Amino acid sequence: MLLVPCPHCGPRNQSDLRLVGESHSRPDPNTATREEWGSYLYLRDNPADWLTETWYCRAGCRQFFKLERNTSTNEFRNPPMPGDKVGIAPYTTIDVGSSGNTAGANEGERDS
Amino acid sequence: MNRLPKQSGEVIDRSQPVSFTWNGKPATGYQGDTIASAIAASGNTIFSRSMKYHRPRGLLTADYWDPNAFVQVGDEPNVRSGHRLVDDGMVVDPQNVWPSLDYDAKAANQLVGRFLSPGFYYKTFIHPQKLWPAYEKVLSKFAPGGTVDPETPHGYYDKRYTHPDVVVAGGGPAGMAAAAAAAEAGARVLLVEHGHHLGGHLLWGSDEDRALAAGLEVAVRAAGVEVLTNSTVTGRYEDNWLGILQRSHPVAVERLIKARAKTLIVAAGLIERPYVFYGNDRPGVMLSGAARRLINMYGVKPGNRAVVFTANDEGDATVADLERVGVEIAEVVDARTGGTIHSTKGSQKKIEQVKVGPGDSYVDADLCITAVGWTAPTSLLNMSGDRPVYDPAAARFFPNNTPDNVLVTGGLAGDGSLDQLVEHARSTGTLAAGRAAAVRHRLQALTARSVDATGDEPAMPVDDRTPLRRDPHPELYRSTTHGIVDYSEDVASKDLVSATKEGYDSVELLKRYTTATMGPAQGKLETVNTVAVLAEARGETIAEVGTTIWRPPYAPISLGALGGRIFEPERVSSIQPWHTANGMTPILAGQWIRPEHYGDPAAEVRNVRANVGIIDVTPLGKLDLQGADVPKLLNLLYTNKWSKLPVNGVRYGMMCAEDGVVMDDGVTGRLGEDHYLMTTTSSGAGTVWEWCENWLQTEHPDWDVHVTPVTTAYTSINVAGPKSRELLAKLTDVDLHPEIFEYMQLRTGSVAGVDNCVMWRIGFTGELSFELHVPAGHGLHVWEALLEAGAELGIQPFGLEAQRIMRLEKGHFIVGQDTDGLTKAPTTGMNALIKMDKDDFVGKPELGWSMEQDLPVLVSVQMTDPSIVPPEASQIVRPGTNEILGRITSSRYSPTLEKSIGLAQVPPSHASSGTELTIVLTSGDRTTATVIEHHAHFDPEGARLRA
Repeated sequence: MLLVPCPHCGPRNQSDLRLVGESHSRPDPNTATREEWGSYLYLRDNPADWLTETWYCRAGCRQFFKLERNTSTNEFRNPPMPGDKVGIAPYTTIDVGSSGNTAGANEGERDS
Repeated sequence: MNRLPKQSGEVIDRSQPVSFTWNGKPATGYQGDTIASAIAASGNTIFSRSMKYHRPRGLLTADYWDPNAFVQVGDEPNVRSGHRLVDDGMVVDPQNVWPSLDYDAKAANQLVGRFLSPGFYYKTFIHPQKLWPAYEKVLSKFAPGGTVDPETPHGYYDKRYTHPDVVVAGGGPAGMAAAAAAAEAGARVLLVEHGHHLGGHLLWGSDEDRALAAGLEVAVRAAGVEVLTNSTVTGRYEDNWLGILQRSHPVAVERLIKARAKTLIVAAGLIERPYVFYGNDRPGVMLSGAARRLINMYGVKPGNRAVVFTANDEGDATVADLERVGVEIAEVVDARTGGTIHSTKGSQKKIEQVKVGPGDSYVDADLCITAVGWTAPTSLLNMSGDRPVYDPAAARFFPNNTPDNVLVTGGLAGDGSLDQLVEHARSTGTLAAGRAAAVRHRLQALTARSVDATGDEPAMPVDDRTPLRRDPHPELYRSTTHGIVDYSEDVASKDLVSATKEGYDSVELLKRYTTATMGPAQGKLETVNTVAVLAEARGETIAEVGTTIWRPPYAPISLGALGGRIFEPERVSSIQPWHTANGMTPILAGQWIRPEHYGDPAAEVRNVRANVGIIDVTPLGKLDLQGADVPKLLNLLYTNKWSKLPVNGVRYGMMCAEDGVVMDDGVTGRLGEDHYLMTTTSSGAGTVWEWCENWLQTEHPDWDVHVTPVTTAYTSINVAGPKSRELLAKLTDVDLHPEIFEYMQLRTGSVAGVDNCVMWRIGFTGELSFELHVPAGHGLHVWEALLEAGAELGIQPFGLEAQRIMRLEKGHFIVGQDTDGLTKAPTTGMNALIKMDKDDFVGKPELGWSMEQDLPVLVSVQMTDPSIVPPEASQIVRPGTNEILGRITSSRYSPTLEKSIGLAQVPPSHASSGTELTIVLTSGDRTTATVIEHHAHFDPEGARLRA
């Protein structure tokens, strides 16, 4: 279990956070080609090297932030300082019912 | 009786006798005895039967790793009797024996032993496949291990989290010295010892050895080290995340400790290795450590006449111990001067002779002690990324390349006098404390708001320890004969040789094929012998063959300890006491417990359609949104438009991800100029909250929006039915006139005397209905007031099932039920809600393209036979074929229409009104259904909800 340096909460177990994934940018939705949009949705560089990732401190400060991690050694560097611009795209797809529910994930209800 | 007079180092308390039963007969021991030492003291030599051949087995190591000493204690199987302390009243039985320990019918297996070659079961029972269940029934009777009693009550298990600077694995002389030195250098230290006592191999050594151990323990306690005995560091993971199993907790059966150590010191010591020769598993053959433990710690005489095969000081010391307690030494065979032992002779139950060389003479003996060297238990180093290297001169593996935050000392690191070992360990402890301080500073520096960011980072202290020397030791693995390599799995050296010839000649393959090293000892005794036999069979060296990589856990962890205490919160609404008292049938929905119905869901439906009903919808996700830019957020997350929603207006919206897949839906209302209340599906409450934060924090940090989850701050009640207005009018000051409070509007006001209630006019059930969001503390009061006021109107509560029937009658889909992870928004038929002329919204380009694709279509269907309700997920196929076209996503019997109705996803070619669909039922039978014109089976114009 990695020890992740949350800039607000300090070193925290990986299970306290969500690794959103490789940081990337969102293309302009009005001019993006299908290739650009598909690449934004699904393609990542995944290097065995330093990588800028987006993390979400879901059990702590509930902040999204960028962090550099060496994917070969799991070292972290350059945690953001308070006030730093986030400058990352939101994550693109989401599992239906991914809020941690298991049984009864389909028991949602809706008003219209 | 084999109990000796008092020994100076014994750990038993002879003033505290203990009575128990072994194999159905009364037995005695003393407090401090292990089960095995007490049984041995009573004169027993047979402890178990072997797994495959059911050969009688006696003590081999007389400690935790003894492969022959597994017993059943009461309802607990597979207890390690060499480790577990005996207790008054224990019922101890042998396992894997039938009908008895002394006469075992399955020992016939050894007569057909030539059939039980490696892979025997794989090869013999593979064909024909249809007989597998029959094979399983027979073979399971031959499975080793104890008996599990399903009636066993659950024990109390616990977990603990801790953040020490230094964890020391191993409480022998090196571990104790290292722990004390680290603590003296200012570190917070946790010392973990596998056995019941600190001291390691000094416990069965000389009086001087024990004096040294006692002195070290005093230093450990004085330095403030936290000591855990009968506990094991079971695994080392990323960033020194350690699993520690504590078997010595005063209350919990076992406790799993999760420790984040800044430095780990591995001082696991060495484990004595058995010798492979013919007859090496007869009772009476044991390792030198076993004999010394039995004599010096437990005062038990291991035999009467011994042959000792020795290659080291430990073997020599065993000779002295045996002589001291009156065991006749038949012969000392010294491997260092060319001596060897070839085999044992005797009955299955005991050895009678040992064939020794040179000279090949037979020597009478009932005890054969071997001291042929050690296995380095490098497990924790393997888990740290190290790949230990074999040194043939010292005949064992040594650490090669450990990370900065893992240090090794003691026998794992090398040899030396006790003084030298202690000195090495103390410098290791000091180094570990220094490195822990450096790690602590680095962690703080990575956290912007923590202290001391301006201080200089201390340099990671360099390793300037004087290395321990390596004493030469002869390589002794297999004698001139073949014998057992893995005692727990009954794998012999000739099995390994034949498997090698079959082509399983890499160590990892050989292990899996023969199951050598895969039994309860997990390689602690047999790995190196396995590798040595393989190397011999391949004609290579051990270094060339390599070894298996030890993985967690170092020692077994019970499922109870892994589970620990269960912290699974259940959520209930403030109305729960009423539901419970009034005959609710509960259903678990996510973490929520809620009423599925109160007895008859169909009657509940009919009553809502005829009179009025109320349902507790508290689990509905609710987010309070405030700020000037809320409309921008709503425009971004929902596919439809929100800029013109007036105060007191509510609107339905659908959310998609960037790939156009439907993620959630719900109703959002505008409470004030800059104040909105968003509702989400019950299961999507957490996801949508995170989704809002995600977009606000990453793409639009400049927007003025504040999101607060208020799901449990409100109790939510839906009042539905033609008489709902009449009911509410009795309880609220809000003007409910249909031309004043219109459909899709909201009001805030008081209900049943409770102020600040939010009330909106919507209609998931298809009836005139008002959804109340009441401050949670008053939820139960409002619920009861509604029931009381509604008594004369025929009010009845209704549950989730009635609501699901009614929404299906209206053709309303449920996200996650009628849609899945591939369902894009156009499938739901709501293209009118996808506003491509908005500047931006989540998934916009993808939704634009997908509206031009032939996506599946969600349609409402009615079954031809009203008595058949196809199960949800039933396949829709092309008639006369098995070609799958789509599936039924929801189905119910409609009490209102007295028909079987459903929702289905079908291709556009089958989506037009009147299309007949063929549905495959679970039985394989087929039935048909017809696509209807509207989504709604009932009141498609919506006259009732607008009433």
